[in-house]
Amino acid sequence: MYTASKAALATLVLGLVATAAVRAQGVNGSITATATVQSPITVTGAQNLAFGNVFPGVAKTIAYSDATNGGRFDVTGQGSAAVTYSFTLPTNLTSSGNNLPIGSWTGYLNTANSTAGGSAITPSATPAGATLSAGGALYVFVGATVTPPSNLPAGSYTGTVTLTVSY
Amino acid sequence: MKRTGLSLALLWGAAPLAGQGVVIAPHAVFMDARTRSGAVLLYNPNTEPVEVAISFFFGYPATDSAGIIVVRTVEHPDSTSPSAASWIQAFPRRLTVPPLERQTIRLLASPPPGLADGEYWARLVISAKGGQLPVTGVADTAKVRVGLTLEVRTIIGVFYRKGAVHTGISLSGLRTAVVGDSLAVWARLTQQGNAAYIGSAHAALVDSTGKTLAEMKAPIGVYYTMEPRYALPIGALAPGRYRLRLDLSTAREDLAPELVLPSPPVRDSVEVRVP
Repeated sequence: MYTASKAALATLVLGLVATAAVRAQGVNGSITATATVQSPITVTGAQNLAFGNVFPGVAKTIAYSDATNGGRFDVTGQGSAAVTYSFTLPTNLTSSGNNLPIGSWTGYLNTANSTAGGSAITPSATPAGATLSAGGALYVFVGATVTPPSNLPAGSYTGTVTLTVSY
Repeated sequence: MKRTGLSLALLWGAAPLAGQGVVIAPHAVFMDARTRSGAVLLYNPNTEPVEVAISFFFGYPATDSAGIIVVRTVEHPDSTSPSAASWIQAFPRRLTVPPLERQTIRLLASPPPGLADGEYWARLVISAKGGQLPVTGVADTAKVRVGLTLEVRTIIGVFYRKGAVHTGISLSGLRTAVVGDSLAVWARLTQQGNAAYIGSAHAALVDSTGKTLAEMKAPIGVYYTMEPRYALPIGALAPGRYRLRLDLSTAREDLAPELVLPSPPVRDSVEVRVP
């Protein structure tokens, strides 16, 4: 991806320089356009971990392999770069002071956007290491289980899942 | 010639995303005692605003017992640690990046008087949080609806250089083991000089004719001593004797050459016997 981007960028830069040169032919002067290319890193929460409706007294699990509802983070950076990742996970989702327990976190790490061919992980706060693909990609999938008590009041329960990636 | 800093790569081909997070460039910031400043560009490729918070801490890459590279955090660095975390500031520290727009974070160093020549390190934490995700579920029938917000924290290195800085690396203890369809490679790497060794590791498995059968290349940063583990996919290698070569150099494709401290390449090799 970055190779293509760099190639396209180089074309753009060359285009700028070429344009400047062409314009310079009509006047007695010239300018030089330069660009500094900086390699970026991107960590994106690409897909929400979506439980939808849940019912008091009925636990609900969303597997990391659930293509529609499983959570997914995407990491892009320099090819083959080592990164450290860790999670900050809620133990409860909250609504107006009420708690909905969430746990049994599951995860999967892959250099392709797939839950096959990679490694299962246990999301936790303990930093772990991973390596981006040769193309500079890493995908992190997460799933969990919510366990609504039978007396859980109705409401909209929310929480935050945080992925920390150190480059 | 004035050099215009354009991070066009950030904008190139960036289609709007529904996700949460920002593109960050560069992935390592180098500052010096002359300007005492640096900049990080954030670009929001998403369709929603992203709230960003900036902070610093002191840490550096190291390896765990398995040879996995992890960032070691030092919450209370002592006076001998080359920490710049307490005297580099970011402006602004909180901001909102609108969709498809970019913002610049300025870094300013205020080192203590009498700072010795050398390189000082910090880790820059960029926390990005999108707007609250819509709580999914059908309101008419559901008693309980659930929504989870995703937040991402990206940590990059910050390097402050004062005076004469130089780096190097020593390589020892190179060893290998066939593990499944891979060749595991370990080596002990020790940074030398007064600056981190920023470079690349290139491992290649060759046969008796010198033909390369498998190889890998990875960026590496050695701040003290580390023993990383690399894996080369070798598949079903025929029994015989091979040679594993490991090269370390300061060549980096992802960093501007003027930012990388040069150092002579370091090489070693070891025989690999496949029974």
